[in-house]
Amino acid sequence: MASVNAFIAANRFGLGARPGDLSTIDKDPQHWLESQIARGATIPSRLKQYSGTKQRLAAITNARRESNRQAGKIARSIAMEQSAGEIIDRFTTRLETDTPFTERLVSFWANHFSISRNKQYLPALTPAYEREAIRPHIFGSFGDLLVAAVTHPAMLIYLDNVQSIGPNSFFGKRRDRTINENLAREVLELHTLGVDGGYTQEDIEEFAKALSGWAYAGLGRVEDNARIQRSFGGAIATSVGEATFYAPLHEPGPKRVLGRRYPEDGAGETLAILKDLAQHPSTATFIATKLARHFIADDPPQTVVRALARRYRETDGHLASIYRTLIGLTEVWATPLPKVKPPQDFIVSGLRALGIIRMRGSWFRDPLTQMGHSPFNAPSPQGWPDVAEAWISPGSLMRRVEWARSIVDQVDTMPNPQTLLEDTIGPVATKETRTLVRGAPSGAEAVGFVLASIEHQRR
Amino acid sequence: MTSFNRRTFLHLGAGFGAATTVAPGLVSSLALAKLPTDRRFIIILQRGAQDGLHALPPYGDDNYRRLRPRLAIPGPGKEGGALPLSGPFGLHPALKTFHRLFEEGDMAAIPAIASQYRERSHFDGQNVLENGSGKPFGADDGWLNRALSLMQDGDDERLGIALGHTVPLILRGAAGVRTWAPSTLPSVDEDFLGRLLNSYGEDALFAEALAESMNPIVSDMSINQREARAAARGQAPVITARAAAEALLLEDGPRMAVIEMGGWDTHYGQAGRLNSLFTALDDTVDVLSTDLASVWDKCLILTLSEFGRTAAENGSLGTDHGTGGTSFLLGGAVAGGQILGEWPGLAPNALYQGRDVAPANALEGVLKAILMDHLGAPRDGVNSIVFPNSDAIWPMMGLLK
Repeated sequence: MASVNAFIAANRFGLGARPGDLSTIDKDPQHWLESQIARGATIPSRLKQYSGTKQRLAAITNARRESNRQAGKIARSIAMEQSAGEIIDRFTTRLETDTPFTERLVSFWANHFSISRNKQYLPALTPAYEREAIRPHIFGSFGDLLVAAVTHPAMLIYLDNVQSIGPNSFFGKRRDRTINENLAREVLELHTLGVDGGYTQEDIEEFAKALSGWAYAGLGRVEDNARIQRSFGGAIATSVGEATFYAPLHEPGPKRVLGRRYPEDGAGETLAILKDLAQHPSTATFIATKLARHFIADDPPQTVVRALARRYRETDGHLASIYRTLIGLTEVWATPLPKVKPPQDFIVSGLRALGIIRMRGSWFRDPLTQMGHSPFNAPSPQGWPDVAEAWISPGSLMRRVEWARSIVDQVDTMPNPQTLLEDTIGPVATKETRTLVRGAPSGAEAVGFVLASIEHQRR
Repeated sequence: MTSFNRRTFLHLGAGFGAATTVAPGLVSSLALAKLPTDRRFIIILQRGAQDGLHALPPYGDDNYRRLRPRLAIPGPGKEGGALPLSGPFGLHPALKTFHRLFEEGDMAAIPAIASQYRERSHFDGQNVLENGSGKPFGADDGWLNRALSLMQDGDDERLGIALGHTVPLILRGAAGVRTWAPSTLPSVDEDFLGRLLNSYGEDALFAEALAESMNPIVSDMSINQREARAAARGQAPVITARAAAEALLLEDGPRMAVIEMGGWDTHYGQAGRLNSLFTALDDTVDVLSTDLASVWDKCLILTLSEFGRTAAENGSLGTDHGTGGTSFLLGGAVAGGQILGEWPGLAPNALYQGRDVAPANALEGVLKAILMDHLGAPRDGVNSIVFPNSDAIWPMMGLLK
């Protein structure tokens, strides 16, 4: 039988074992994780077919020249033709992948920089955001990931930066428009320093001024207005990554954030401030705490947080180095089942256990809605919660049990329940669970018992 | 293949030990404790910004016809005409139950109502409506949850119920709440659940949750899968209302419920869409008033939306995001048969920023009055904890019988 460490690697850091996985991982569980870090970031082949944010926003803004209604229509059709397919392929990737730790890290960071489809145009942009802003940067420096996420149009829309106009900017002086602080506040509170990280309301306001001007191409037909071109005098729109920076919306003048003065530098101000935020000791502790909570325990030991924060500071937030420290900690390999799988991972690991490699919409859409974990639909910019109590309520647990009991009838495969048990939760299965599975009235129920067991629902 | 039976659960019992052995009917008397209130409070949350002037048309106001040449609802007696209330006001013709309750003295309307939020983003507007701090993201929890924490004694006494798969922000926070969740997944038989529960053993989190969900005190509701799916997505307020009423009738059950309704963002062709929405809203209130008849004198239903819409119609037979909206108060506890609050009118100089119904009546004042005078929540706590930064807003007078 495989070791407990193989189980921990496959579940705590992965998406559950497929048939045969545990014995492969068991040769060297830590090396199995290390080799995934070494492979670095790639875009899975089945996600490469989907279009980019720039192209999608161009279609939407073009339609907006006709009417807002037409723009909404185009956005909905993109959501149906592109996003819905990418959400399924994203799940299929998680079913078939040999690098599940990488996929877990993508989910972790997409949740750290959470956006939600509950806002105009965002259903058309959500999986693309993850593919463009998160996935390429999960093994690099946190600073690069921070810039990619914060300046992605989906984030700029989600946290209202596209509506933020400096009152002394070219446009601000002509219209009664103001700064919107949402993005600045959430970057400080949720993405970098943390709520007690030592910033003030003035820091938020100054940072928001620096952020004013970041939006996306085609915003309000500014670029092709000849009159504005003449009277502004200078480049109106500069393309930076997926985003576009509009100088005529940017609040001019120096900004002071966390005691440091940033001279007027257009888009460069944001990049300089984000660089300093990424290097701030509060950010190191905040990121260390979140990683420890995700991979070790809901209430992680301070020794672990300190070790990760130290590594963060030593390496200027080099994420691959921090993951290497994480998988080398003895605390990680100590107890096998401290965390509860959130619903998406519960479903993915259940299908992996059954050897399924292609996702179908009916296996996750309604179930995830009813378990409270619909893709790209987190209730607030804080993202999904990362503690057990948030996922195990009477209602959501019953949905998990219903799913576990019925999925084998839907996937058209019937494994040997004893083999299934050994291949997935064997190293940690209790006597009670083994008795339960052995005594099941039918094979389908035995499979249901494995998938609904504590050992399969935790990690 | 398992058949798609529909089971809906109300998760009410709190004790793990009692759950598997005691017949459902007995649990409520065993757990019976004196709750801090016997009053019921139901919020119908209309997401997307209801057009208050279409719900409560001031058909007697010339400015209304001027601002809405194509959308204005005709006066009473004409085809598609308003149902008369008092003064210049009538009701959208689909709101028949509202009208009956008004005539019976159990419905009051508040025009020109607004939270402290003065921008026009749904996202932020709903956030303010629910967090109660007066600012977008000014609090991580909901005002109704903070009110519950002032009233309930520990986690066993859960006075609030969320109807749906996610707890809306208004009910999220430190105070424990109950949940009702319709399922479209194939149901699992008692034998399977019983065996599974045995194996959960020492894991209290899983064992207690499973035991509780196996013990539906409220009987299974016979809804089909299409209805369950619609309810699961917050698109079947009538079904949700039936579940809410069932829970609110329990002696030691919840006292406050939130029902959500989407689809109110009517920028285009609003007459037909609002006719369907108002019909659904009226059906919802009809179900509540019928099912809650035995406790009707203790009930207060409040309709809420994040803000109102522009006073004038737009070019596409709809209306755009505005400020002052309309709320309705319904129930036996309501001092009904009247229009409450100030009415600033629709004259050009009376409009907010020249375009919206002015925010003449503070929503927080209405909510304070309900919490203090209907539910008996402590006044200091309501002023400082439930609605911080709102000292200037007084509880609205005269809402209750």
